[in-house]
Amino acid sequence: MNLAKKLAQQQLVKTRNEARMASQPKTVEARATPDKSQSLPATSLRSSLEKLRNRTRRLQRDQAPRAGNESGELPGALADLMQGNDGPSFLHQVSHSPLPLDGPQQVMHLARLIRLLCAQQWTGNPQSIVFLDTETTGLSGGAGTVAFLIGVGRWSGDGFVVEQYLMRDYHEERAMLVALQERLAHADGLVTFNGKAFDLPLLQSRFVLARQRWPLDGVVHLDLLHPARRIWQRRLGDCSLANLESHILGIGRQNDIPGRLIPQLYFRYVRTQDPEAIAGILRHNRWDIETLARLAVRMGEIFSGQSSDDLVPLDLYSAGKYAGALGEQELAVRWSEAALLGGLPDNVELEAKKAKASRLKRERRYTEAADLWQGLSESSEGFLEDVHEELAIYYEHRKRDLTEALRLSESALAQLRDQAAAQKWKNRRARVARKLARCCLAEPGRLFDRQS
Amino acid sequence: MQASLSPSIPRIVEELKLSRGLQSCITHVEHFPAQEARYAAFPGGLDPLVIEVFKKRGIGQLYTHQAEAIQQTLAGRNVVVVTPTASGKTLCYNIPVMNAVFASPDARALYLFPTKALAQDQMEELYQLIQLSGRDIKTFTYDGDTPQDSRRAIRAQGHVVVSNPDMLHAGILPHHTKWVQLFENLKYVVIDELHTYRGVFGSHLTNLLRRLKRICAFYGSKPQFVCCSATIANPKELATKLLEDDVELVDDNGAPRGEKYFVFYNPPVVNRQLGIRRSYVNETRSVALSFLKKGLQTLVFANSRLVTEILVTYLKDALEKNVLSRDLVRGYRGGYLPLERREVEKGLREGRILGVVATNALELGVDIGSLEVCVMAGYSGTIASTWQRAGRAGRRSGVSAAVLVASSAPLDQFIVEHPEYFFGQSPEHGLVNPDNLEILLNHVKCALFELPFSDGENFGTVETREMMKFLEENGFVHAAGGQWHWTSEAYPADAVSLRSVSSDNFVVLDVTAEPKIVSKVDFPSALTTVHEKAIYIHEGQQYFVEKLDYKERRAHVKRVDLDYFTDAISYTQVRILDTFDRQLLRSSTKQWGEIHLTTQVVGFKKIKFYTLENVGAGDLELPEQEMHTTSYWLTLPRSLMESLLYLPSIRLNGVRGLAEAMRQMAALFLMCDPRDLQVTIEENLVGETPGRAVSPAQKGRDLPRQIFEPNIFIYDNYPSGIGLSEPLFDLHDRVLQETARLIRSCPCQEGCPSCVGPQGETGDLGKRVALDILKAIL
Repeated sequence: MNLAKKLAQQQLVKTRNEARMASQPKTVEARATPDKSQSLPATSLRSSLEKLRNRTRRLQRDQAPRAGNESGELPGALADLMQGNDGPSFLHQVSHSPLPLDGPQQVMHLARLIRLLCAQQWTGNPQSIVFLDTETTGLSGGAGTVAFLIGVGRWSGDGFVVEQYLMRDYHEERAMLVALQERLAHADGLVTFNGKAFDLPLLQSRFVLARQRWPLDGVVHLDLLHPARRIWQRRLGDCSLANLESHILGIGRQNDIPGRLIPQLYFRYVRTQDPEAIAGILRHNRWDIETLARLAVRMGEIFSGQSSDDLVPLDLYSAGKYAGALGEQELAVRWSEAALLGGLPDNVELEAKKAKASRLKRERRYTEAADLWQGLSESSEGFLEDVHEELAIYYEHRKRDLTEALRLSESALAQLRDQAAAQKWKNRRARVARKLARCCLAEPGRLFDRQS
Repeated sequence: MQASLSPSIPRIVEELKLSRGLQSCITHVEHFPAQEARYAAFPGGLDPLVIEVFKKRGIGQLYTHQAEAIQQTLAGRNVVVVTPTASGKTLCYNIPVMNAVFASPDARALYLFPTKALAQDQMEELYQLIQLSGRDIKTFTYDGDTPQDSRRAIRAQGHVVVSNPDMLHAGILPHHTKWVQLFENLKYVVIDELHTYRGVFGSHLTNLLRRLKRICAFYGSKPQFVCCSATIANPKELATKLLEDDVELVDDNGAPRGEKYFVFYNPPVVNRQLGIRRSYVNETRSVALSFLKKGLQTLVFANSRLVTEILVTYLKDALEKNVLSRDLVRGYRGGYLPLERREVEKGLREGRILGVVATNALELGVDIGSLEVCVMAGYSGTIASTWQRAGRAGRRSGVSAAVLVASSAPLDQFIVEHPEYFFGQSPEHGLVNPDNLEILLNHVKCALFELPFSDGENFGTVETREMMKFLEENGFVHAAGGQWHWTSEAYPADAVSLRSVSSDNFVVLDVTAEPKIVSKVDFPSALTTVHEKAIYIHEGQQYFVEKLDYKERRAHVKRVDLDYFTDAISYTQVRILDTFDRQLLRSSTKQWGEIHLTTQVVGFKKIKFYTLENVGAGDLELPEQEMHTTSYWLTLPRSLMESLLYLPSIRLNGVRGLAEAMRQMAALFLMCDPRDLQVTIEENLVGETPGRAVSPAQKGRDLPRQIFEPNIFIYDNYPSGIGLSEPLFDLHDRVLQETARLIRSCPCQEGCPSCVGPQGETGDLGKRVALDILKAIL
């Protein structure tokens, strides 16, 4: 038998297998009473398989990716470029963005953000920061995943532009990467969304495969995913770019294609060269770049201390914690205070107050801290061991009210669930009791006073 | 100190001979005289530092085979070294590798071991050498256990990367762009335990090496291969097929060998009428004890984990009775935690441990030094692995012994009663068929993912154009600029597993006090060893399984001290799902298609230690394990069966014998390992009357099997099949003809493992009935 015939048969086995696996429940009842179909000639099985196959075919048709139906946007020039034999050996499209992204203030905030989050010593030209996002043939990574479309947003003399590099077919990849290499050679900084884990390793792998030098070595890279999570995950949960775009930037996209369809649409495009299939992806990528730039500016503004007023208290609280971790104490305090004033959900409020009390303690404002702990302890339904301990320390060492410290130890031991932690409290109780006894010997009246 | 005890070995063997009075249990003693070492100088062209390092380790000269292997390697040839265990094989590749790295710090080497445990072992040895050299040579293991954060450093800096085929397949090659330093400078690829790459596993390896060579070529390197193998019949042929390149065979062992006895031991008959012999497990215990009591380091091999643990228990008990520490005997098998294994290995090397009971986990080259005695509880099933086990005993000087204690299984009985068969037969052949379509196509997909194929490019020895066209029709590739590109979102390496067993396993959690992990049990054996109410034994300690958390893959156990163990009863059934092709022959029908195998553990028996009495049983409701695979099957019609003038049970024995012989022949024609194929015989249900359906009450244990119209299923022992069934369907005529010739020309009287299986399995007439059936259908 020749190879072609064998191959065809092979595929048949595979598809049948997959179809069956997908649509047949795993339980086999035929153990007890043999399934009729197994004892019948294969014809009935064939027909049921045929039905199955039709069903999977229909399923595939329903799930087939569709390009955005808004075909009017495809400029004639683009269509020409994509079909033309001459011109560049890949598609290079530049579109001016309608966004007012290039105010001097915004650029400054962005520079500040980079210094804060990435490199304190950064002295690059904020105008030479590029925003980068790729569209790929899959999410698995590895040498077989290709970045077929690379979008670069940057400032040009006349506003913000998005440049897109598209390989219209696989053999155009090298030329595309060389052009990108040139474009990125002058970048002073790079902004991405999840670029650290995804876009950059993937691109780097493509450069290795094309045996080209990687142009971004040593370039400062601001990946917005993690900062965004630090600020908004508590409230939004999902911190995908799309979700941030709609909830934080308040933008709704019209007729966008779902990201998961992109690989299939691209495969269709390389096979058919139908520009319709690619137009939706180009638009999607451009929007992503614009959103990326907007989000970066927005975060720049937040960390400049401006425009943080319209953050909801929960975000403010998260931002405050983040600022604290970054060493921006002033912002941290301001935002945390504002968050507490604005009102937080119970569990977060507890956490916020504890954090505030710790800060007060660090600043040696012991009485204020103790008031907060006292308040927490009284309003809490459950036993807060850490708060209790802070209070005990306060009474023992700061206020030197040993009777209260002793009472706190007793009450902790009475309420403690975890007996493993009890030893610590027993030690404290013994120590406080010893001190107290010594005090009484020295100043007998004191104990007496207290008891009355 | 122990070497001075060695002379007692011949005396113990003599004692064993006499121990049963007139009825000796020893059926054969093969004596191998001592062999002197043959030495050679370090080959010229080696960096003096290399020689110095080995001198520091006390190695001032090489054995002849080592010198030859190194010389061939330095001359730029691929080499396969085939010498017995403990003959210093690792040195054959460590020297060239160190030499290369000393010469150029950029040079890289990749070591592949079939298992993670072996890789671990090699690391130790290499690490010591490097320390002696004082040079900065970085060696790392890179496998599933390597922490994510150290992977980057390994990729960039590791001079020697120690890994396994599975990791190369799914973790390294698909991400080759992260391994630029390795692939640009790859000088040597070391493949140890080459003999394990037989059959389907070997076919996978050939394709994996094709992919590796493609990637190396892309980065401009062309590595040399250094392979080591245990004894098989055709090492050079196997290596040539796996590497698809010329390979020099080095098999003239220059290492010294002490005197050795190979003893066949058949447990005594206790009931003459019924021919019942004493339990081989109990006999193994007393044989092993006779050596242990003399202070001889002894390794006991068992064929299952259960028997391993029973023997650990017995031997520990026996030592205690002799007022010795229980800790002198340890267990060793898959499922023991890595630290525990290391400890046992070290204890053996240092002589702190006197005896170990192990499964085949110790068969491969784990470094435990060499012991004085090896006792095998039952025949392992193949000549090659029996030699390998026996090779575990044997020092370079002094006397050693290997004892095979036969079980009552027909195969074991045949071997011990026919020593000339075992000692005269060459070990099994290692066969591979890398161009098996299913395997080939899967690896071509992986290769496409790794690098586009140029139009007309070959994959190993295979032309790819037609495959590319086929893959294009199915949307996997796209042609552009004279190349074929991968156009799928899938990560194809995930779709192919190099082994039939999944890596999924159960954790055994001791909840007697603070929960503590005792061991891990792989998925297939979990249902038979840690089902609820089972007695799970680890290091001789019994645990009662309280709960099997199937979803969380956890078994909760408590320590107990009982006088019984449990043995699970399982039940397998085959169902035909689809027939892809069928052909009516002269008086039989051949078909191939898909089948569904269901295995279920339906109950267990409680068996008393020592007496092995059955002291109870229980029923179990456990999930079925299913396998969906492809099969070839031959239907012998009822009329044919009834025309054979034998009792029905004898007919069936003939069918069994025929099936076994067909399996062996099929493996030969398909160039796979006999273990890649499984055989089962079931009643052909086509056209049956509804009244004869198996009723629910009958299902389960001890189902009386009356077969009137047998189907002989020979199926791929891999989930969803591995492409063996269709070629078998096509080869049917030749396989049957050769099977007939095999049985006819086999010199045995009434069946042997080389034809229809040993007599005990197929009865006295098995051979004749099988030939009668063949005459009727050919």
